[in-house]
Amino acid sequence: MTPPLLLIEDTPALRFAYRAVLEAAGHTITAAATAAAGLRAFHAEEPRVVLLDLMLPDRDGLSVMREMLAARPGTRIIVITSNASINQAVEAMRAGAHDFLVKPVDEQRIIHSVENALRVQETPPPAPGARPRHNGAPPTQGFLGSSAAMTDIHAKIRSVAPSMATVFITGESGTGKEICAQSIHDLSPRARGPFIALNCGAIPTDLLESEVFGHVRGAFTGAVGDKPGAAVAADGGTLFLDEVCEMDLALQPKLLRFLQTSTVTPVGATKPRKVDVRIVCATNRDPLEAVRRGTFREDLFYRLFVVPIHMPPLRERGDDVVEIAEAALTRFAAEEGRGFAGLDGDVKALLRSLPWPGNVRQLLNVIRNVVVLNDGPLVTPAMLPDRLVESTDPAAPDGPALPPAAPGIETLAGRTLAEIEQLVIEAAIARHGGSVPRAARELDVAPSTLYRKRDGWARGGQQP
Amino acid sequence: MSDDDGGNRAAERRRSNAFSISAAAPSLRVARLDQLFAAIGAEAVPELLARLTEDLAEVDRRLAAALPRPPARPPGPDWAEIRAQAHVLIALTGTVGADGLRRGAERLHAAACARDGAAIRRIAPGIRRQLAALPGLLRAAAAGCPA
Repeated sequence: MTPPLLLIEDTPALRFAYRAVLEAAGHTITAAATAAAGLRAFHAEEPRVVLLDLMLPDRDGLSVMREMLAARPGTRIIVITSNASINQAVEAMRAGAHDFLVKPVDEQRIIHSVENALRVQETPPPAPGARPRHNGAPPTQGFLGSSAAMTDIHAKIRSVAPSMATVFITGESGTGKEICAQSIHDLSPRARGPFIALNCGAIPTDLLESEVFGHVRGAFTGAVGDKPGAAVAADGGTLFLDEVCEMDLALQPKLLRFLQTSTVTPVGATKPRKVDVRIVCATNRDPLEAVRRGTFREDLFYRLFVVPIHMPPLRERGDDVVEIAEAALTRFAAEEGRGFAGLDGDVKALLRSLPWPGNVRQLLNVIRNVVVLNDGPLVTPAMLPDRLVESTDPAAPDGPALPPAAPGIETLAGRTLAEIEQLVIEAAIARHGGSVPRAARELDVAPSTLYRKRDGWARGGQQP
Repeated sequence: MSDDDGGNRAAERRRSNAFSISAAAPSLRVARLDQLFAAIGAEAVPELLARLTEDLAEVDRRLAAALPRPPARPPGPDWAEIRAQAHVLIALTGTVGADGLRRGAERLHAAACARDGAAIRRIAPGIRRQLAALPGLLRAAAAGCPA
């Protein structure tokens, strides 16, 4: 027999329907019509999972949820709300709700949400307002740095990982948004499931629907076989939607529908398929600004922006820059067979003073460049790329570094064609505020071309 | 727009055509209803229909009491109650696949949030007519359902 569930819903027909759906799926339900009756049942029966309508006749559902979590922090609470009060659902998720359902609730969605909640191991989330439980625990994998800003990030990742809550990661390019997403997955109950990353800005618009939702054979010219799509590939795990603000407006309602129903309909298919996927998404833009400009749907924004995590830029991470540089130096030196032992004191000071507009990615490129072109034992200022040192010119204005000005033709003299190409591409990306898709449009190439080239430069450690 | 807007009756009728929901019988997405009945099981269908009928009647009763009265006849509309009943109606109609009535309820909710009495006067009669017709339609659909 499955553990008992508590359902608190004041509309009789809905209470009956939800109860009947869950009982038909094999669950045992206790139902209540008011907050008072619901709390009595909560204390008497100690259910592991509670389905809670946020609009109750005698009390605000959010305060009921807080009272339940304060009494038994391990309880998984699934809140039910209407589209009109989606902000309340967002507030509930931030206050510790496990998941939320929007009325009218699809039967399969309610069953999946409950089953997900029951699958979660007995690791209670922190009580709202409590200090993170993991202080002193080893840091989340993939990240280096022990600054206060990163300690907060580690704590947030650990707090949100056990939940089904959608996470929206923001931050400049190169700050580690994908590593953050991977860490959330690795620390979640879905860690044994797949982690599928999809760059919404790197895939041509006409292929994106097929990439996300899949297609069946013959759905369009070139569809020679069935393809499952990222959402199906991520079934049982996490789907990471990078550069989500670049997603085509025409596809956004389909993503919204997917989030609401947990079903996908591959292109050309007639029947939807149920999937169990947690969504983590990221952008290097201000998502609210994208909503204001009309390029990102407001309803989708509220669906996704449940638990926000902002990755701090490297310039705000204090001594992390040195810690990361030293770790990278050790790794790259081993890979390249060089005898580096550390950073000279002047280099450390220089690294701390730089604005790092390309963040960790830029720092790693610099260290790779140093290791490839020099040998140890200490990294000195003379080994650093010229352009990097020039950017510390005291005559330069304070604040975050502006993207380098587009090079005049004279300054290109003496450079290789590959170097000129890199300069032009990076300048275009900088002109578009870090947006690779927009830069790709300007340069009339596919975004994937630019991503591929940048990956190659990162691996090769080249600096123009 | 305030409650007291008089305005030209012809213009009001034109606006009414633009905003009111259909006065005809409510549309029902039978596939949605089949899905619901299949999920709860055939033996639970009669009780669900009975509760839906009661809930829809309760929404209509409360809505009627909360709607704006003609000007100068207090009390004014009970905006919170209209919002609350529209909220319930959205959930009920969405659950059974009465999509046209659901859209009407969403417009009613938006009008109540905006405290637009004129819009509510245009929308509400159609909603109440469809509310009255929906239980019969549900019973008829259930009788023809394999569930």
